[in-house]
Amino acid sequence: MLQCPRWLSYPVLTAFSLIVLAPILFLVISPFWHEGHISWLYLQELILSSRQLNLLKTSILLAGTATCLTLLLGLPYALLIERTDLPGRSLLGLAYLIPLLIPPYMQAIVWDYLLSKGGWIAELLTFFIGRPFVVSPFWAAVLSLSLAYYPFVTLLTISGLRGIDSSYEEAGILHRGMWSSLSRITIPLAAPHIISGAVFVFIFSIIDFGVPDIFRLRVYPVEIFIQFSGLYDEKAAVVLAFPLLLLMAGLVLIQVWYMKGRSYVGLGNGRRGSRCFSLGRARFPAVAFPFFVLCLSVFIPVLSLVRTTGTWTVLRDVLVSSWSEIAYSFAMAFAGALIMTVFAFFIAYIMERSPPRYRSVLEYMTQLPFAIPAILLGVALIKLWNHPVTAWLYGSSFMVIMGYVAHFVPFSIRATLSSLKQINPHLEEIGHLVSHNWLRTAGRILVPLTRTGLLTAFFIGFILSLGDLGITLLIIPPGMSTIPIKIYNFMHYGAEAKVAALSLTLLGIQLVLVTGLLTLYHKTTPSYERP
Amino acid sequence: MILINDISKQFGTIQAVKRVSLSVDRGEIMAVLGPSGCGKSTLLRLIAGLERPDAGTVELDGRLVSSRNEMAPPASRQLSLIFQDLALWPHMTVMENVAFTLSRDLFSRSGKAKGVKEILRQVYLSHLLKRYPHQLSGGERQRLAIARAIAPNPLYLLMDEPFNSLDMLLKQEMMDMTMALRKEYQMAIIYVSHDLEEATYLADKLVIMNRGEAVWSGSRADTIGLTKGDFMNFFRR
Repeated sequence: MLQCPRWLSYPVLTAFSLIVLAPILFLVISPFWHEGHISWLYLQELILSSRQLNLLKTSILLAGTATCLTLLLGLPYALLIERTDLPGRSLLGLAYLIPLLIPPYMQAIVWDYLLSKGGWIAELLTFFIGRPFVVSPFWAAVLSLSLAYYPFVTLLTISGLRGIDSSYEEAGILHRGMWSSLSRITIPLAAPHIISGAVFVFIFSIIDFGVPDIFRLRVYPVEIFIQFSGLYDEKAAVVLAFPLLLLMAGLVLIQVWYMKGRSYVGLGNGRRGSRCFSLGRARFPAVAFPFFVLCLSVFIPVLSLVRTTGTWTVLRDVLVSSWSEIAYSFAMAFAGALIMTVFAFFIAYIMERSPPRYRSVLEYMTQLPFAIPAILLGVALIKLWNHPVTAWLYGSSFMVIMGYVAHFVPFSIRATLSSLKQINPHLEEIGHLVSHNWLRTAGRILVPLTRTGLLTAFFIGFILSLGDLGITLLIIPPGMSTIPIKIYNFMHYGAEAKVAALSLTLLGIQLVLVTGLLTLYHKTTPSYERP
Repeated sequence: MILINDISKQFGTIQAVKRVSLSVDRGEIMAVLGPSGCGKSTLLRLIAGLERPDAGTVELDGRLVSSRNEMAPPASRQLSLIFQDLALWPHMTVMENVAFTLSRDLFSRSGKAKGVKEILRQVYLSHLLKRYPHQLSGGERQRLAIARAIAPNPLYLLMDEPFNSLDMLLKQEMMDMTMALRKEYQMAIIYVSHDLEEATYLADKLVIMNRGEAVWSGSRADTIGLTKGDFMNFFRR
């Protein structure tokens, strides 16, 4: 059996422990450590308070409702584009990914404009219902989170549907027709992916800071931020989040168990899959559903931002005055994504070549960071690295990069791992037979064959880092700023036009880069990888 | 009776099936022989209604079910298909795999269970009702695939190289079971294979396909004078 060389696994796992696991360990130990000794008192006091119960209730309710709505939007979308003869499937199969470029807080900004008094959707609804339309902050937050996160349900469902052998469904169609086959065969077989997508959305929603902050909802991440930045009580911030941490750890365990090494993501979206179900006369009317979802999640938000920006002059002024933030955001996201990808490759390799019992532990450990609220991770990073010995590191931009790696590396690892799993181990074994140099074998055999996974890992890492607000807000070095932070600051000053212009700028940069990356990917795809 | 008239199907630039005509009566087994990629499986999928023909027609007992412009839903054709990989639903037990093929109105709930058990008894699987496909041996999986196919009492049975991966003994057992089923249910069976001996053992009629075309057809009696070399020549054309 192939095994990872020790000279590689030891340093990589040490670096992983320092960057990723140490902050988590700090968060777990901190609540029990009070004035130099172990104590339950502090934790007991906070956990049993009514405030804690209210927080837990609101957070779970918000995340749970948002998850239900993402399933209603994302599941039919995936089924329509992956399993029917819907016109324009290829285009719609790419379009649903666009909302991933719009960070949740940006959806919240837009829907806050649109649903507040004077917003055109609020006016329109007022006209239809005949009385003033008022939306509660809770439902506005649910809508914003759902529109930002439904692509995760669609993406994972598509990935599950593509893994189903079409003969299973055809056998069902032969005996019981389309609907029975869809409900009794297709959906149950894709269930692990669908449930996994729902768990993802729940976790993202419960740890999100930007959306509830904009709608003034008292949920965990907002309270943690208030404790840390407003009241300067980092201990209370960490202790407050302890029940949330336990809940998240449980959910990650469910997630890992459910997926059991299945593939999560792929860059080849939009490719034609199996087409079993004919929509018949409903073929053209059915396009209305994905179009409606795209209207809510892409067209309306973008048009609203354009409208709020107003003139070219505003956009130009914002561009000129934000040049340094744009460059800094780009540099940090690029460096973060690059380090994340390299790191993910080695970690994924170590996982794949480990004995099963170690692999399960590693799988769980590598998934854990994404369930930690960004704000909380930021607090942990500050507490860990803000020491005289590490002063050279703390306060430098490397802190930001480290934060991105610590928070987003699980996604890069999953993308790389799914590519590595598809490689026949014999291909690597032949490489080792002809060369003693592991790096040579990795560079000539493994890296080219995992190219798609590595590009996906970089793509995900870059987009998530570029749009990050939670971590950057706390650990950015003095005098520096990123686009999301500038948007956040403008928003609190009430500069709507500037917020919209800067949001459009961020979207534009992301769209150009993603289009470029996808074009590069498709142009350089070797013939053996083409469908 | 299955009647196929001048049927053609093209995928992109590849002509998978080219003007094939054949007929199979009830109680008859027809073997379709040919090398890999000659269009045998596509022919079965056209009959089952899983593909729409570019030209030609498929009729079942005089009813037009497939043409370029008309397609009867697969579930309405009263036929079963045994896939090459068997396609047993991995999330359903042995009993559920068979029960799912029976429409709700075919049996009452208790009657349905009774019917399923009776069919599974016929293929010697009645002691494995609660097992999942991955918990069965190769032979048991084959028998389950057959049970699932005959459960809805089809008039036509299509078999796509279903015994390919079996050892000789098991293959013989399955072929005998197929012959017995034909006798009992009087189905029209089309059996796709690339094994000449298997085909001549099972079939009343044979069709040889190459590059999408039917290059030879005849009864089992017609094959008596033909040597293996003659068959190889059909494949090489």
